[in-house]
Amino acid sequence: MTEAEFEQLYAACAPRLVRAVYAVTGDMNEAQDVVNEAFMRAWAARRSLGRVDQPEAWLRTVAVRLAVSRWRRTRTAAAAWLRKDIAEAVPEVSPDSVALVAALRQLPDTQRVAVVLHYFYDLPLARIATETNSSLSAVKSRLSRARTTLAVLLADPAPQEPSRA
Amino acid sequence: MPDPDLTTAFHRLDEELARARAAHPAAISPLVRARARRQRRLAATGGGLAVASIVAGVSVTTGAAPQGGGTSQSELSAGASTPQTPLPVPTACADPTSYDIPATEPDRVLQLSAGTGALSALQLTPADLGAGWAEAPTGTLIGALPGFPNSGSYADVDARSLRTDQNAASASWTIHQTTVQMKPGQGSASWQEVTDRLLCTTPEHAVRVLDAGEHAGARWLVVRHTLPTKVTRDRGNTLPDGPAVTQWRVIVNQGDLLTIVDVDRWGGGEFINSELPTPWAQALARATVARLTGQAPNPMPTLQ
Repeated sequence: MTEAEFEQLYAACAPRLVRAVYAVTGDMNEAQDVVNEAFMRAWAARRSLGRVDQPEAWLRTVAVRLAVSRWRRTRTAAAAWLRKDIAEAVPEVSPDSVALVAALRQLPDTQRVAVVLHYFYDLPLARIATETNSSLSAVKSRLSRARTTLAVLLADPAPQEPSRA
Repeated sequence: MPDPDLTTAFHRLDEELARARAAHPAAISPLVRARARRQRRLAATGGGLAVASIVAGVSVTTGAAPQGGGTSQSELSAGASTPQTPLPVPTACADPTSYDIPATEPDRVLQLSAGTGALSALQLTPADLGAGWAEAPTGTLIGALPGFPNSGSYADVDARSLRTDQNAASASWTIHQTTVQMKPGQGSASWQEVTDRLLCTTPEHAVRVLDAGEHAGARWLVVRHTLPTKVTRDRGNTLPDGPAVTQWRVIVNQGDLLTIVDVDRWGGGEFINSELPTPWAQALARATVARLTGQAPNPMPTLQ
């Protein structure tokens, strides 16, 4: 892969990859870091990257694994930051999207990744199984559990009955 | 929330994020390359530690050559029965810019002139390397590390590429082997030239010696090293064009024959940083020595 081809790959894939990783981590700075890291690795392997059928899938796999790994490592630190009430860089999105990202953060890593790959990237289950090195049944199970949890977390609160004083 | 709602919610999130914030500038340079510079600085620190650990005593696995020859490949593999010699220690290059490749320089292409084919039998075969290896088209070796002897002193040359299954659910590996018959009497000087250069370190070129030895008139060296990347010099600072790429290199010399075996990794996900097991690299050196000295190599362990 030439340098020009690599630049094209970056321009074509990086922005959406950042948004997908943001859905996984809920942190835009972290998402940009992770995507940079993935492209750094791609840059290191650029001589052979040209022979990969789907460079975007390769990058996605690397980025998602990095995101999960860093998410696990920094969970404690992130909690400490939040306790200190330091404002995070939050993109300006609708309340529904804020709620979705917040709900995703409550899912286990494997479920969150499966949901993002399926609903954000519209990937079929078999492809998710390949990219996450999992069985098809495991992917189905994760998606099913995630849907159940998200349905509860994202449900509109039931209207309260007026009290009969 | 039913499925269609989740699909809609994710697509809405995607669109809103795309509008809310430009995720990245179109150019890669300021982001990736700045990170690469930081990583390079860290790597340089780690490289010093690696060299220190070698000096402190990494296991020595090979022995000096017994006199008389006539040894078998199994004796070669045993190694422990021969006197142990220390591994060579990499030292700083006299010229710290020895491995600099200017960012403006085009990729190096090593054009190998057509050989006679006589050296083909001295090259490793897929069967020598164990299960999962196949021959690959050789073509020209693009981006080859400087370190081959001057092609003006070649009498004959042969190159071969081998690779593991590129679709396997494990790390993938590629081997490029170049065997050169030097002009009469030039083998020893070429070995010295090639190994001196390989063992010299700069910020661009970190080296760890994994194995070295002599046996039956053949001598070998196995290293794990970083390939230099193109650099830009800015007010005295060296700015690499990308992160370091690791390669394993085996060099074997016997008489006027010199062979260089480069092992490269590639792949994605968790395999991208796969390390070539040192015992496998050592076994590769023994197989290369066996081939070069006309013996049948012992079976290699399967490379995972």
